[in-house]
Amino acid sequence: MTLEFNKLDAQLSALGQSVADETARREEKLGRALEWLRQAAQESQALCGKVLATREMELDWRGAYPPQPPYTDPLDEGIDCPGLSEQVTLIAADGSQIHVDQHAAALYYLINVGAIALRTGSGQTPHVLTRPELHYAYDELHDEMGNLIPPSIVDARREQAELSLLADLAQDAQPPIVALRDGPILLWGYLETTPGAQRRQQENVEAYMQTLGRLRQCGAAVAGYVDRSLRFDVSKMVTLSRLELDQLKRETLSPANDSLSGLLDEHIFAALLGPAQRSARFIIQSHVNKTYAQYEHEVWFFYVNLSRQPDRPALARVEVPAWVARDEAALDRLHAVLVQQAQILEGSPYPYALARADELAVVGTEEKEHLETLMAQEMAQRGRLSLPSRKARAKEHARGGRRKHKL
Amino acid sequence: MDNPQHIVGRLLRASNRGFTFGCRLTESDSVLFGSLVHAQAQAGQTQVYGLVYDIQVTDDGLVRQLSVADESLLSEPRPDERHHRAAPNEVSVLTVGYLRGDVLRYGPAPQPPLSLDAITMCTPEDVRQFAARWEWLKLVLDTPQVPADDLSVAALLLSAEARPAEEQRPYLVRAGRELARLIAGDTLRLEALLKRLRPNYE
Repeated sequence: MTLEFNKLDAQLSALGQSVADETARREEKLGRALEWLRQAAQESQALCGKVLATREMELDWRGAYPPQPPYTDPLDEGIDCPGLSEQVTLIAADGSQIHVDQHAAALYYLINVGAIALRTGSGQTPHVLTRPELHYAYDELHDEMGNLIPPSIVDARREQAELSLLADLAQDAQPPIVALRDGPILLWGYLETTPGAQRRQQENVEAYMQTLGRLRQCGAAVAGYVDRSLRFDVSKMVTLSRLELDQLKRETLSPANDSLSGLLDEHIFAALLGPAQRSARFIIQSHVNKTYAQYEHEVWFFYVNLSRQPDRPALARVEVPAWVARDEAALDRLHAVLVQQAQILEGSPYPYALARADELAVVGTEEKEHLETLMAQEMAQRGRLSLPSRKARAKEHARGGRRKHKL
Repeated sequence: MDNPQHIVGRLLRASNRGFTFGCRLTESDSVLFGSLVHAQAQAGQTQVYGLVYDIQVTDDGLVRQLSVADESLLSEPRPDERHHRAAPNEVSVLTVGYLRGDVLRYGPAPQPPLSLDAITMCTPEDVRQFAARWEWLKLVLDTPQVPADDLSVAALLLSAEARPAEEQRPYLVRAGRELARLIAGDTLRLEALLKRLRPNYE
């Protein structure tokens, strides 16, 4: 242990004070935001007009806006959770990965996706499944320039694998189906940034959209669940609502001029949503969502308060394709299932099925070590002795812990 | 040869004095505290006998959260926990004897069973034969690492139940005499054990 905590005393104290100061500033912003949101709720057509204007003027404004009727919900009110009167097949998937490590004994990456499928209210034993994939081919590990792929590429592939597993399980599942993944549906990672990646980018987009299409064909209400979201799309929308059309310029829309800057959507809806309520539906205006819209999978979202305690909200952001958001029955079912699942772990509301999917997917340190031992054995059997790099071995020696002498 | 119908688990770890096996416990299971089980060792040359002295049902953070959930919400998490998460339950066994050829001996095994070897419940006939003599009882009473008194009583009661009804009381009377011989110097302990053996047959 070499972290000298005594040298962090003053910095820790400053952190605590900074958080306290920020909380105080946020409370003031929140009051204003709620007032402006109430006004915007009365003038939603005008708000939509401003959002459209930002698009037409190519102001590159990214934020949320409400959908057109009949999908418009009250912007400033919570919507009660419907009852869950039917059995639903709930499928939840999560993934983990081991990134490429140039210091390991062999170059590889691993993606492990775990999923659980259960029939709510049936009493049946859920079905669990894991799908580990080991990738070691040269083309999988390197980009067109011959460089090792960065962790973000592996993460993107893992996200695709999660969605694929959801679609595979949904194929044979008994309807109605809710399919959940941990994380957003609107993904940025598939837009690979490696050199010469345009072709692969298009392939990635096609593959991801195809998988969303498979879920749609199964009739599955697919959703991305985001705990502790740091998004501020609605907060930006509220700021926009205060501007007049002739004030819409890049400068006025910049974060520096946003008087609600730092106020997250979760702050707003924690104040607005009662226990088990969801917010209105919103659409994300962004370049990436334009691509999704071209494939008819435009991403909408809402917030839901999963807590049953009025004074302790537990917010989550839920992203869904438009074809789910426009289906009132599917949306109600999704809302009800999320609340029911979170009540199972009421002490810390989080959907039980996602907690289990994470447990199935996670690859621990010991398992990684065991995997690399098995790799070393396979290589040794073929006359190939391969060791971690000298750097990795030196780290292991230095971090290996100390022993006492014993008689 | 192990009868698949009686296999109750597979070996996790062992020494010649005992072993632990993993199993999927169900409410209708036959693995009881005091049960006599056996496993093969030394490539099938030896049959190792043991008494179940510890059955573990463990918890973790997720189970603790579930334990306070509304009953109506547990219809899927309960079987998920029992079938997928809690397995294997760990059952610990004290080795009390072994059969090599036709010779039954009481004491630690010459070699333990190996990883993933099948653990099988003894049939009533096996139990009658094994418990016909008393050497195993002294071994149990002299093993501080197990709940010796509880295990002795449980094993004796199960051994009696393996006999026809008319033989059960006489068997327990003989067991009581053997206990008196073994722990005559500790009358309080002896009295407690005898009382625990008695109630079923008053």
